[in-house]
Amino acid sequence: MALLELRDLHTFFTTKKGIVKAVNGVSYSVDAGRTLGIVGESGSGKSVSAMSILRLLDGNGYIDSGEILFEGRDLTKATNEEMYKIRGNKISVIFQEPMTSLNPVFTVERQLNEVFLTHQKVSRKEASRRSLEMLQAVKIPNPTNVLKQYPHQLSGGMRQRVMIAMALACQPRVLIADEPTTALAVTIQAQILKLMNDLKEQNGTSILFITHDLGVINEMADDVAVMYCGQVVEMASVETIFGENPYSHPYTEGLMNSIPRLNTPTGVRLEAIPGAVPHPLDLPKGCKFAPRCKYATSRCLAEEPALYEIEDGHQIRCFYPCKADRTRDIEQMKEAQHAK
Amino acid sequence: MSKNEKRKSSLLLTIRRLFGIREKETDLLKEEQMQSPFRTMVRNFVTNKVAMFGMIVFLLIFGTVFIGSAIYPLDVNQQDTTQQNISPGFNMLSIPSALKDNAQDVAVGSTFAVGVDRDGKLYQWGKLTEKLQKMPDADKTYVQVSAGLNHALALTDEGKVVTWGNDRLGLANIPFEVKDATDIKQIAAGYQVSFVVTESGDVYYWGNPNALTISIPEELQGTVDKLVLNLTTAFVLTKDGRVVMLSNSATPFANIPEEIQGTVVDIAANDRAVAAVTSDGQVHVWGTNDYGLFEVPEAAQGKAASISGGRFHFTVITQDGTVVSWGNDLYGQSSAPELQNVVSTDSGYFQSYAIDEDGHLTGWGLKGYLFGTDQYGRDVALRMLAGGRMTMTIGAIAVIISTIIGVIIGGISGYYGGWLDNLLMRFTEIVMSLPFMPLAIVLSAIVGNRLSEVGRISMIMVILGLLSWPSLARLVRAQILSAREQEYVTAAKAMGIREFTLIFRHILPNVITVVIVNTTLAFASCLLTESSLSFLGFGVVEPSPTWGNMLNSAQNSDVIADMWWRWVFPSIALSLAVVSINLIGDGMRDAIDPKSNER
Repeated sequence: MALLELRDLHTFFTTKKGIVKAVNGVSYSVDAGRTLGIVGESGSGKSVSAMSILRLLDGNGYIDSGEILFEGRDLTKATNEEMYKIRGNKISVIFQEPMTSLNPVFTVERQLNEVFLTHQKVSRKEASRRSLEMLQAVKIPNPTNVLKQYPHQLSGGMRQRVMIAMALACQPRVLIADEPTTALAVTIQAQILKLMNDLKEQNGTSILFITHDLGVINEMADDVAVMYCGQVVEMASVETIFGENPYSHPYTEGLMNSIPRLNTPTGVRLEAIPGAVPHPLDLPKGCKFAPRCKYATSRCLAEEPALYEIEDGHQIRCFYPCKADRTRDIEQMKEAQHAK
Repeated sequence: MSKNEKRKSSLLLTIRRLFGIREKETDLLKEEQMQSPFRTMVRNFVTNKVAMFGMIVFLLIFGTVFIGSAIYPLDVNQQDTTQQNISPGFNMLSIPSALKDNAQDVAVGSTFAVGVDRDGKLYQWGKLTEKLQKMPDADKTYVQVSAGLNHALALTDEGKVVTWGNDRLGLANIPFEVKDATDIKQIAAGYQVSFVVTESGDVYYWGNPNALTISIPEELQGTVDKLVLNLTTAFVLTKDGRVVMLSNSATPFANIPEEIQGTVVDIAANDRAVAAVTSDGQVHVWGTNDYGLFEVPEAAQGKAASISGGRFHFTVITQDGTVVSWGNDLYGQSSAPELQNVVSTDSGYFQSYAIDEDGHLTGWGLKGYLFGTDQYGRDVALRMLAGGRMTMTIGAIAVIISTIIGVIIGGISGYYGGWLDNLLMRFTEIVMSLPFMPLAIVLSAIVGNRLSEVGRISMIMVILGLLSWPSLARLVRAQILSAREQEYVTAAKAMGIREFTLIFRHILPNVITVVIVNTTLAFASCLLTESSLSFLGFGVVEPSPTWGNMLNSAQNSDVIADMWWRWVFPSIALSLAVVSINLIGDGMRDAIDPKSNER
């Protein structure tokens, strides 16, 4: 059984202009000791779905329907008290902005200690000892000094290491990494990712890795969920997504085509997905991706496809999942137009 | 480095930093280590000269007021009609040097003293009124002097009485009998009256007939040897050693012990008790036992030769020529120096003087008042100490109340937002729109009259606190609104930190600096508001002093024109305190946000 499972989750935000359906029927699951990568453009609902798990939504956000099963329990029905015990203890989060995720007025030690003091019944001294251990575990140079320092004295990479140390302090079952490397330089990125992978293997933590960087997904994830407009459009293992596969969602295909590969010939323009993400208050009627999809047919515009399993462990939300078929179809269509 | 040394050096470093002494920075990492935001703030503040100046001034005022009022406690009910409106200065015991070693007689008035030297020359010193300064003819030879509240008498060698000083209430109208008399033995000036005793034992008096209750029995005339006065009545010692009170009222003064009658050699009266010395050197005291007046010191008991009385003390010359004083020692008037061969003393009001065989004149007791006295004869300096403590305590407690309310309301409003925020902010605006002064005055007038003094003072604190929180609440709300959007709040939430802890332990420390600055400035304005209320008579009322109600009397143009010390000192204290607190507040703001200075 999956450790963490989202079932048909709907998370909405009430705004003055109407209800924004940020997460509109998302289902995915993370198995123990595995990493699920979630990719998607800005506003696709990746972060909101993850934040819904810990109920860290902004004031106007709420979970409309759906289930979040963690260790067999539905978190949408958990009391606040239970949530306090889960946050930071069983499920913890690493945020995108290491620069601002630490409280500027407290030392690293105080902030790390607080996690221990909140979730484990330990003395202040013991908490300090464990904090030092955690800093050593995340490979911070000179950890005894860093403990006494304030966030503004640390570099971005160091701060993200501190954040990881805080997140992993209580050895959580699930770690939600919300674009943890976006704000970091590439070399630091690689170090942090390696660190996370190492720690995951040491502790057997499951990771929910949110990013828009496909390269990072390839590096980190075991499974991938591609999200678009608050829905999962494709879900498969990382090999299936990045490998040669007859089936894929046109959006995933577009994403793949938009990044340079080692085998991309020189002098060829990268293919971009035309258009922009639709406004969340003005979503298209049929398939959400149809207006930007080069394979879209009248059926796509009128009817919304469901997510279905095309092969074992590979789900796609598209009427035309077979790459070869739809390429042929579109060529035929073009010819027909020519003939006219 | 041993642990002890380490601690020592870090202490030294802290002290150096506190006073802004920079030193060579040897270790870059070490320096980095020291830069906590708080320390940076402290250093910024300490290097700001204006703010430090304000800090020092405020600490001086604060220290003086709190330590001073502890050392010199104020008896709020203490008043003295004889010490009204005395200007500042310490010249009450400044005996003229020509008189010092050549004194014949001395007399103590309320705020001044009159003396005559062995050549018959008159002197006077202390706080002299304009009328007192017009001394009588200098070409006459004087033998005896006496001083009252604000007039003086002198006796010439021809047996003539002259009077100067206050000439109203009939004090200038020396009766014909006295003018014609040639055998005057004793002159006595008192509270708006003057007495004369003749060698033949007759008593004459003139002046304000309502000041004392005097009735001189017919049969007494011709037997009087000596007369003494206090503020309420007079006593005579007859030639046959009896004591008679010149009043029929049934006061404690009337309880003259029967057993001493006939053996008395000297008497003295002060405003609480009367003392008599009998021929065996015993001192008998009757009246009211205040200030330990009945407890005659052993040094005097049984050895007394003569006695004199001040306002609340007695001074005795013993048979071997030393001087002993007892009674109220507020100004040191009962702390007689060690003197020898003393032949006469005069105690009056709050001073005593003694003259020895060689004519050396020594005085002790009240020298004067640092900041003068007010219309009830209360020491302005003492009242300023107690008043300052009151003003600052009220201000501090009011600020604490308003800060607590402001932070809680602003914090909740800013953190939770939504309808709660809306509700709280509208409420805040309602409170803010209440006109402060009229409301405070009305509240104080309606509620205040039913309360005790302490209750009234607490009420002022609460009113000030309850009406001054809105601006802080809005400030805190705004700060928290921006702080709660920071990532670290979400991060802390994701770590499972509870909401209450989150608001008050994570967000508040980020906005506390603003709160501190605001609180400091609010303290200054609370001082002012309290003072305005008290000035108008709706805050703390007399007799409890505050700087505000001490200024109350400045509503009177006479006071402003002639009694500057009554309003200048409290207002200087108040403005210094307020300005210095404002300087501190501004300095703190600059220390927290150094950019604000560049604008």
